[in-house]
Amino acid sequence: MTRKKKIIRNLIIIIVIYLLPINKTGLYLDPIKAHRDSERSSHYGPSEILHIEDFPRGKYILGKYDKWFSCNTINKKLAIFWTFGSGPGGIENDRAKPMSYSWQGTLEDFILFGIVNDERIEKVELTLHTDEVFSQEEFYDDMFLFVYSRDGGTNNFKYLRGYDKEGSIIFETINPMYID
Amino acid sequence: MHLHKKDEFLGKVISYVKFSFDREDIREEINNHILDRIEYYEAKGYEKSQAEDLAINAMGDAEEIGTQLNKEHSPVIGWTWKVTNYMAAWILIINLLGLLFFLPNLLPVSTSQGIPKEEIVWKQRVNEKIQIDDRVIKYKDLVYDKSGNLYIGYSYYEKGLWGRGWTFGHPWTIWDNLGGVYNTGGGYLSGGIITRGRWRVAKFNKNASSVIINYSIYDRSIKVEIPIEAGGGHD
Repeated sequence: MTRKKKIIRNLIIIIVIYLLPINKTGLYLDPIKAHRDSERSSHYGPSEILHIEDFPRGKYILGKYDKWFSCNTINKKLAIFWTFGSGPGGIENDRAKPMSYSWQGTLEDFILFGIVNDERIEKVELTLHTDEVFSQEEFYDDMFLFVYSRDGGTNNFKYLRGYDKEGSIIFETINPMYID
Repeated sequence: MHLHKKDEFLGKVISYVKFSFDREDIREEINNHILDRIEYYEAKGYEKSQAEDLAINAMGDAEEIGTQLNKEHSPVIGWTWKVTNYMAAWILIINLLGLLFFLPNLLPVSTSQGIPKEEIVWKQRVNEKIQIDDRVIKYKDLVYDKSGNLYIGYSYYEKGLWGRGWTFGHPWTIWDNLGGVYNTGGGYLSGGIITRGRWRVAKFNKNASSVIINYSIYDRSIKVEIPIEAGGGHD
């Protein structure tokens, strides 16, 4: 066997044997493929992706599937890879309510996301315990997403409100776990 | 008698070969070749030193031979071959070691593990296989104990080649054929490529003649009915 053929043989061994265990590490080169597999492995979706928000260590992927909505996290790993984060499953949208929402903590941030059911709602506003206010008027289809720092808290939003174009409150919720 | 001219010739040829790992083999090969020729000329009646001169002259120009040999033994190809050799060997060793860790996972785990033998009323083999997305779930056996606990042994794995997959944590509902609905207690026996576990269904109706396992979430719906061989009353 010539040296060139030996190199080809070695490369084949390296690629095949290296990739077999690496597939079980859950590393992906494509974040969307990681998201899709994360959903499929959690027996949810495939969801329609409505928005992708980058954060320093990964991506939040906002989507809808049938009567559910979700915000899946895909984490960046080893500079070029992507891996499952958290939240691949969906939350059922209660269409009887003007808005449905959910929130969760990640290592760095909180994310609060939801879906607007009442067409009158033109602005969604989130008030934190620090009285810092976030608002969103441009929805992703009918979904919204707030990403805010953990700031040492665990359940640190006070209110979530939905307003119509006159500024009247159509929806309001007070964080049941918020302690003033 | 030492053959200085031969050594000098060899040294000059070898000096053109950049890939040092091949130098000794090349030296030995050319050396043998020259010695054969010297022997040939000596057999023809030449003196040793004359035979050496003739043999070296017959070999040709040392620089030309060295340059040609350097092309054939390219350092780029040589180093690539060397490095990939080490890498392939290293990865093979790592994987073999990894395989040793996985081996215990391939050994069977009993559903009745941890249940005292005298507590077991009956055991039953089950051969039901279902698939949700890429996850293949096998129901292996049922174990019923004197306290009325029904244990359902299962295993699952992901069919897809890529990815690791989430642990299977969605709620299952367990029914009996008489309409009883039960909560299940989890039970993780072993993990790895194949995950094995068992559910404990407390106070399972003794008169039921089948157990129904139901999964319904996110537009996936699966129902498995397993007849109890011992029959209603579990005789």
